[in-house]
Amino acid sequence: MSPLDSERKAHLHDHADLVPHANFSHGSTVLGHSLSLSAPQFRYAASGELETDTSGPDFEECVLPIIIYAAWSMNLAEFFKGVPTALNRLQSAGALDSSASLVQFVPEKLPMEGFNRWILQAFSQHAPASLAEFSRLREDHTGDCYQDVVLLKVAGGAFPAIPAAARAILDYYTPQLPPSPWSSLGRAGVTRVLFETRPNRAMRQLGGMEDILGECAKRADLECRTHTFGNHTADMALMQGCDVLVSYHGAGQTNAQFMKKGSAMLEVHARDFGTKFLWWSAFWQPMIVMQTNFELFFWGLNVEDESLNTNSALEAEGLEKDATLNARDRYVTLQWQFVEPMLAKIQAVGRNATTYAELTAGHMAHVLYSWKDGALSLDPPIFCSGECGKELTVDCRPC
Amino acid sequence: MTRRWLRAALLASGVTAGAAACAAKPLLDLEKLRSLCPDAKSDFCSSKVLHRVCLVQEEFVLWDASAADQHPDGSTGLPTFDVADLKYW
Repeated sequence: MSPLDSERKAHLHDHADLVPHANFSHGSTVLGHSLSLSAPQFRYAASGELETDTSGPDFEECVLPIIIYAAWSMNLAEFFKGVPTALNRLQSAGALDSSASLVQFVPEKLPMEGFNRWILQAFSQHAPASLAEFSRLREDHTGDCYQDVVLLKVAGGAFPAIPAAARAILDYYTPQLPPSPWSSLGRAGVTRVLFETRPNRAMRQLGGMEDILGECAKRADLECRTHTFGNHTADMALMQGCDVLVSYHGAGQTNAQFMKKGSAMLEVHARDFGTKFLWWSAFWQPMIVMQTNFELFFWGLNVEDESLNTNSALEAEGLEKDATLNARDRYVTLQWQFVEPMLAKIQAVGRNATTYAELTAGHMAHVLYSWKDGALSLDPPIFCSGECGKELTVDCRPC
Repeated sequence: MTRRWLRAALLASGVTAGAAACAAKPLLDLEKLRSLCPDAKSDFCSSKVLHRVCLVQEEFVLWDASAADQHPDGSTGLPTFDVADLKYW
């Protein structure tokens, strides 16, 4: 057992209840570790393998494996911005089509995530497989041979390509969608609001939801519910009818890509995350909104009152010592006194991109409010410099 | 291992030698693929296409000495493929 394995096992043994799981389960397995990944293993055929009275093995021409090497493939958001975007671009350009076999390399022989298979399936006639599954050793100790194999390396991804990829996935799964769970669907004048409950209770949990849902239920123009993402087809049906997603920063927000154009995302920032760590909080969803020409509207809500913030279990247990992570992961208690006015602002803009763009004052697609000392105030517009797509080099700060 | 190796895909796939033609070969248009990567720096542009390769337990066994079609510089030989940026957190 390698030192890494030992460390990982110890971590899981001691803190199994605190380790993130669900929508990226093997992300949880390796939480806190950068695996030392080796490059794919290439070698020439050995002399014994070359002993042949023919021209060589039968190199299969009817199967084209596309072997995908994607960064952070266990994270839905990272996977989404890289892999389906690349496949959709390649297929749309006519470089590949859906007859190719999609194969995903997963480090350390870890299993593929459910969402990996679900997303890949939308781009192939064949069932997706991990490289371990696809290259398994046969009983006669042989493998399979191919005329061509594509090694698709996805290192970054492309925000602007996300909506088109999401539409391709939506088109594929639409015939399979269950009925929408929204009772108000089709009723004019109702805003349907979804509050995400992240599956890992050790961090980033919205509190006060009983009161929020109770207040919401008193309103004829709102339908509110909480939801934990994970059943992908049901999630898609839910998001198709959703007008506003209220969530923390996180991979679950990727489901917003299945909302209709002009829907809103309200990202709740715990104390400091939306004010001191803009390079992170302002990068993902606001940048996606900006680079996709307002497919969705991004709203941020900084909840700065200390009394409404509680350290995450990860921080409380000493498992998280980084100030940025701690800020990102704090529990926040929502209160109707500031949620209601935020929803009212979102309702007032509706799906009008022009009105929304005016609020961003020509800067980052980022409308950010702060709740502090009993008052809700509009923050200065955010300006982000840096090359698009270059993560962690984006410098975001108030103008 | 030699002859079993040679016939493995054949037996497994039911495709007979010399009759490997399928109704329609999967589409792979390298020119169009390369056209998406004018600067070869972004996104998926470090991808590669390998010809005549066998797969055994996550290992790529290249049959020909010049098996690697390495995009974008077209160099041959055993391909390098840096995945050091694949991190799990």
